[in-house]
Amino acid sequence: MDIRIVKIGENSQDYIEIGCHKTDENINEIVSFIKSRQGAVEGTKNDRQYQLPVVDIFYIESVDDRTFIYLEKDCYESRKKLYEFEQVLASRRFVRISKAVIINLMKIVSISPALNGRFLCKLTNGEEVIISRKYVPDIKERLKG
Amino acid sequence: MKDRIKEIANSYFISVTLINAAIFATGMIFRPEQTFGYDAYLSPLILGFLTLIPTLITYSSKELTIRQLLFRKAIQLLLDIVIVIAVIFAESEINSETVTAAIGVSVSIVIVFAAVHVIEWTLERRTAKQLTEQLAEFQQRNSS
Repeated sequence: MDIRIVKIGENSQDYIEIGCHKTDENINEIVSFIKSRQGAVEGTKNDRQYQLPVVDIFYIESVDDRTFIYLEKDCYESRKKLYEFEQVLASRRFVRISKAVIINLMKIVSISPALNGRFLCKLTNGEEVIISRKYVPDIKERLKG
Repeated sequence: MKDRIKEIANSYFISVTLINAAIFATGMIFRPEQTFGYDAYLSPLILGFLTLIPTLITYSSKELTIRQLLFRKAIQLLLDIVIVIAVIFAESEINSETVTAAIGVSVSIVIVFAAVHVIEWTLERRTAKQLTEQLAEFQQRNSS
């Protein structure tokens, strides 16, 4: 496999591009490794532990004192509390949108009004999550920064 | 809390304006000959305040789902109708004319209630549009 490193301008974002004939196990492994280098959190599903790449997380929700991590299709449980995730992921494009949910801003497609001063954000996997009015100013501030 | 007060104030002033319009419309239909003193100017303010009380029913420490909220909104509307009818017709005799007027008032409450929500939704849609635009810029800046 040929490996090429291309220098890009200072104003451009770093990126990794993989050229391949088809996405096989090897390619998925490389992608998982690259993603894990950008940070991962531990999650449990069916009594098995997994390292979940932060960039793949859609949102994290706290329900009845239990914390769940949602990826595109799967859901994992975590022992960490929501506020712990909030602290850890604050610098990773995550923001609190309600009392029980922290969301990955990179996974939101659009925001629309819901009832009672709340908003509904549509995610790239088609799911919809409610934004509480209380957190709207924080989200605005975060998007500016 | 500050946002909640701001939202209630918004809702109050939109309601008062629409109640004024509703009083004009129902008055012209049912009692066009009726005249009032200056104290009549107070009634939209009082009715606006009274219809704010049932908004407490939509408050919850937990995040309500859309379905739960719609259910509570329906109860709020029902309570609005009961309160306004009770205040307006408290000293009236029950006869066919009063019943017709009460139906007219109820319909106007439903219209005002719906209009308040449509106006609020329109204002929120503008905020949502701004947020979506800011989000797209944020994602572009941070895309890797």
